Amino acid sequence: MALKRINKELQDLGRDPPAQCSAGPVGDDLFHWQATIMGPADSPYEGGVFFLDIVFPTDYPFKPPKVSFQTKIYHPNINSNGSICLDILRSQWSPALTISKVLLSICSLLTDPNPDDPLVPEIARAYKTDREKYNQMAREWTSKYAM
Amino acid sequence: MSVHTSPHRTDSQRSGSFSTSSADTVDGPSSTSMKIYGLQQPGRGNIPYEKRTRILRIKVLNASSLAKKDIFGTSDPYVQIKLMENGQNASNYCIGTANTKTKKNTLNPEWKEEFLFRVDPCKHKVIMEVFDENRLTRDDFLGFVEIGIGNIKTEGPAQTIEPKHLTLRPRSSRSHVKGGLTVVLSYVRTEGWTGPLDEPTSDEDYDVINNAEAADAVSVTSATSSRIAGSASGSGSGGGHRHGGGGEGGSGGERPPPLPVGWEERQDFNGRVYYVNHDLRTTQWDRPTVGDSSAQSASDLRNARNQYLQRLVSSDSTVPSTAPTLSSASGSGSDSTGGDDGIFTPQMSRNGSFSTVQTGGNNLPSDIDPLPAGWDYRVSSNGRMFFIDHNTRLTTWVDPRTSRPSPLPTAPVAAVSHVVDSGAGKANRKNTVDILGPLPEGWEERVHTDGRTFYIDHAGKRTQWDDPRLNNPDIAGQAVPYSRDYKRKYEYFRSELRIPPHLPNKFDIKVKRSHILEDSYRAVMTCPKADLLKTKLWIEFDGEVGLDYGGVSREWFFLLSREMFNPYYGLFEYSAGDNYTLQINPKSGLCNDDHLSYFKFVGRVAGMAVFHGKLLDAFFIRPFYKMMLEKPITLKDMESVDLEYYNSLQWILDNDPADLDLRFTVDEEVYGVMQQAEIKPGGSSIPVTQENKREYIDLVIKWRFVDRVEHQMHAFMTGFAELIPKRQLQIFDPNEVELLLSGIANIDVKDWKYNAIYKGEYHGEHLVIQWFWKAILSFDNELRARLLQFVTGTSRVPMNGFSELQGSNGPQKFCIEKWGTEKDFPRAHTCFNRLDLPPYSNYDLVRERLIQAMENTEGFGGVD
Repeated sequence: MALKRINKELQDLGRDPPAQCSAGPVGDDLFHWQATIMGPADSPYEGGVFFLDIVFPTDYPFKPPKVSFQTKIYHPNINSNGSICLDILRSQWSPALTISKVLLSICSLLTDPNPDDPLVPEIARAYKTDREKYNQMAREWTSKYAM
Repeated sequence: MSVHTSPHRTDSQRSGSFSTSSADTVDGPSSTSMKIYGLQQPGRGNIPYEKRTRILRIKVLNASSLAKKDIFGTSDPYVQIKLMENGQNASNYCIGTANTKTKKNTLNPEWKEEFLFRVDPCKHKVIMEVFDENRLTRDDFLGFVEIGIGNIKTEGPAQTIEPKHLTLRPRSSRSHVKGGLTVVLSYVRTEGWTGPLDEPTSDEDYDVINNAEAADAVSVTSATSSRIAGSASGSGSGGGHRHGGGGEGGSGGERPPPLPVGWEERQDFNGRVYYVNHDLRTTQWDRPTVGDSSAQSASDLRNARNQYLQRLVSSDSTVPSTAPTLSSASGSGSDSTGGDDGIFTPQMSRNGSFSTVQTGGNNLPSDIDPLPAGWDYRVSSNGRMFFIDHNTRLTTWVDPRTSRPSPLPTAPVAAVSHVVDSGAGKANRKNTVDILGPLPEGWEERVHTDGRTFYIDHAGKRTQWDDPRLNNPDIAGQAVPYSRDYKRKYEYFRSELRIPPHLPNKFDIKVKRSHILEDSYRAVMTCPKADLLKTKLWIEFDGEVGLDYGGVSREWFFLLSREMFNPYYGLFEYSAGDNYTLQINPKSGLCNDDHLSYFKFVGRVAGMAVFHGKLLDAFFIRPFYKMMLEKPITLKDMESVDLEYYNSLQWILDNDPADLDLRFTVDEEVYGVMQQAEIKPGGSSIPVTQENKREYIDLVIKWRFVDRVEHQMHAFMTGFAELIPKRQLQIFDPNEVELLLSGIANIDVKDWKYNAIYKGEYHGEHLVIQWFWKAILSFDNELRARLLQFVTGTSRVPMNGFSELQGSNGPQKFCIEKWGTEKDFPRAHTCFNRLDLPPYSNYDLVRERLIQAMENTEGFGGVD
C-alpha cells in the first residue's frame, strides 16, 4: 500500500513538479528520498539550494514522512540537526497530504517563520526583536552553506 | 608477558595459531604455513618484495558488548573478513573472504585468530562483519567495520603495532547493532622477513580508517584497554613490546565508551539520538557510561523496587508498607509540643511499639537518601515526622541524613480551634473543618472576593493559594461510596479462588538471580500440572538463605517481570517510541522459535501473580487488557497507542477516502523487507470507499491489535486461564484488570499537582482548578489511580514522578483544559494526558462529575 502510494507521488511529482522544489528516491529504496528546495525570493534564503532527507514510514500515508534538512540553515523552526518544527509533520498530518504539499509548506515556512513555536529560541528572539540581524545571519549562513 | 592473566594464556594456547611464546619465534610458523587469502600470488614461492601487493596480517582479537539476538541474551558470534575493491562503484566487488571460528554463547567473544591477505594497499579495503550463527535460520548481523589499508604499519622489531578498537556500525538505520571489535592490522615485512629494517612508520601514518567515523570509534574504559593491550602484546606481532603506545592516547578521549548493559541507543522523530534504559524504562539524552551508571542503576533499581513494593493489590489491603504513616506509633509521640527546638525527643509508648518495624525505607520521600542502617522513621500523631534509632533505642526530631529537625507538623488533629481571628472579613471566613479535615495549626482558610479560596499562614505571615493540607500525606478523606468498588469486587474475586484438593502443600522454585528467566521458565513450564502452581509458592534464590513467607516470592515476581517483559527478549515491545506501556511484539517468533511456549509461561506467571495476590511490574496498552477480557477493540483505543495513526483513520472516517486509492491491505516490514498483507480475502483488489470504510477501519484495528498477535495472545491466555478461569476474570473491566495485574500505586498528589499544566482560561489558582485538586485530595488511592487511567490511559506513574509523564509523542505533562459547559461531563485525551474540564459552578459538582465520567469511560460518546 505504502509503496504504491509513494510510486504515485513520484509520478505526480514528475508530471507536475511544485515550484522551487524537487524530490526523488536516493537509490533503489523507494522509502528513502532526497529533496531540494530553492530559497524563496523575498527571503534571506534567496539564492540558496537546500537539501532535505525524507524517510517514509512503513505505514505511510497513515503516518507522516520524516523530513529533515541536510543543509545547515538559520531559521527559528529548524535546528542544527535539521529537524523541522512543522505541525503537518506531526499532529496535523493527514493521509491526504503529500510530499509535494509538505515541501510547499516548508517553502512558506522559510518565507514566514513561526517564532511563537520555535525550535531554536535564540533565532526566534532575533527574528522578533532584531529582524535586521536575523536577515543578515540567515543570508550569511545561506551563502556559507547553501551556495 | 606478565600482563597476561591466566585465562588468556589458556585460550591462546588452545587456539594454536596464536603463539604466546617470545617474539623471536612468532613470525616463523605463521607466515610460512598459513593460508594466504585475497589476491593470487604474483609468482611462485617466496618472491622478493613486490611493489604493488603486500601481505596484510589481520588478527581478530575480540569483540565486546555485542547486541543480543538470542532469547537468553547471548549470541554465537563469528567474524567474516572481506577484502574489497576500494572504488566508489566497485564497492561490491569482493576479492576474498575468511571466517573466524564461532564462539558459543557470548556477547564478548575472544577469537584471537590470525589471517593473511595478499592486498593492494592502494586499491583495497577490509570489511569485517560480525554475525550471530544460527543453525536453522539466517545468521543475524551484529555489525561491521570498514578499514582502509593505505596507512597500516609494517612489522619490524622496532615497530609497535597497537590493536585497533572499532565501533561496530549498522548497515542501515534499522539494524540493531552495538559493541565494538578489536583487531590488529599490520603488513608482513616481506615474505622472507630477513630484509633490512624499515624505519618505523610515524605515528601519523598509523592513523586509521573511516575518518568520518572517528568520533564513532569505540573507546574502552581504561581497564579494558590495558587488558587488550596486554593480550595484543602477548600475541607477539613480531615487533618490540612498547606498551601504552602514545599513538592511541590522542584519539582515545573522543571515543564514546560502549553503552552499559540494558541500555539502547535510539533516534527520536527528529533524528536526535537518545538512550533507553530498558531495566528502568527511562530515557535520557546524555550517553550513559559503564562507570557512572552502575552505581546509579543500583539506586534506580532500588527506587523501582520501592515503587513496586508500594503498589497495593487493593486500596486498603494488608500488604505491609502500605500505610504512608505509622500505625504503631499512634498513641506514642502524641505530645505534639510543637517542637520549636529541633532536638526534642518524642516519647515512646510503653507497650513497645518499636517492635513492629513495619515501614522500611520505602516510604521515605524519594528525593532523600535512605536512612542509615538501623534507623527508621515514623510520623507522630500530630503529623510531624520523627526518627528512630534502633541501635541506641532513641528517637529524635532531627533527621540523621540532614542533621536538621523535621518540618513542623502540618495537620495536627486537634488544632481547629486554634484559628487566629484576624478580625477582618468575618463574613468571608469559612469554617476550617471540611471533608479534608482541619487545616494545620496556625493556618486559616479565606475566600477571596472572586470566590476563590486562599490560605493564610499566621505563623509565617504569608498567604498562598495552595491548600497546606497538600503537604500531609495522611489526607485522603473518606471517599463517598463508589459504585464500581474495585476493592469489593477484588474481595469477591479472591473468595472464588480456591486451591484444589489433594495436592502437595507447596511448590518449590529454585532460581539463580543471574538466570532468573531461564530457571523460572524451566521450573514453571516443566510443572506437570498447572494446579500445582496454585499451592503455596516456595521460592529459593540460589545461595541465599531465606524462608519464603511471602517476601521472597514478591521479590521473585518483581525480578522476573522485569526480565520477561523486557523488550530485549523480543516477547514484548514498547507501544511507541518513548512510551513504556507494553504490547506483545508481533514479530516475537523471529527471534525465538519457542516464543509461544514463552507466552504461555508469561501467562502462567501472570496468573500465578493474581492467584497468589502478588503484582507484576509491567503496564500494558489498554487493548491488551481488553483482549484478556475478549472485548472488542475500537478506534478510540488506537488514540492512546498511536496518535498519528489514529488521526489518519479518523480522517478517513470524516472524509471520502476515494482519493487515497486504498485497498483492504496493510504493510508490514519483516527483516527490512516490506510485505503486504490482506486484511480480508481478496483485499488487494477491493478499493476502500465511502460505503465500506467503516469495515476497513475495523479490520485495520483488528489486524493491528488482534490478528498480528493472535497466536501469542492465545498462548498467553492459555497459560493465564490455567490459574484464573476466564469467567472469573470477566467480572472486571479493562482498567480494573490493569489494577489486578499491576496494583494500585501510592499516588503523590503533591507531585502530581506541581507537574500539572493548564490550558484555556485555566491556571493553577483558578477556582475550578482549586476544586479539582481538592477533589483529588478527597479521593482514595483507587479513585486517584482511576482518574489517572481515565486521563493518561494507565495508572502507571513514571519512576521519577509526574514530571516525566509521557504522552504518545514524548513527554507530556498532565494537562487540564477548559472546555464545554456545566451540562457536559469531563472528557479525556489519553494521548495528550489532557483532561477537558467544564467550568462547573461548585466543588461538589466537580467531584461528582469527575467520578461519573470515570465510571462511564466506555459508555459516553466523546469520552475516552
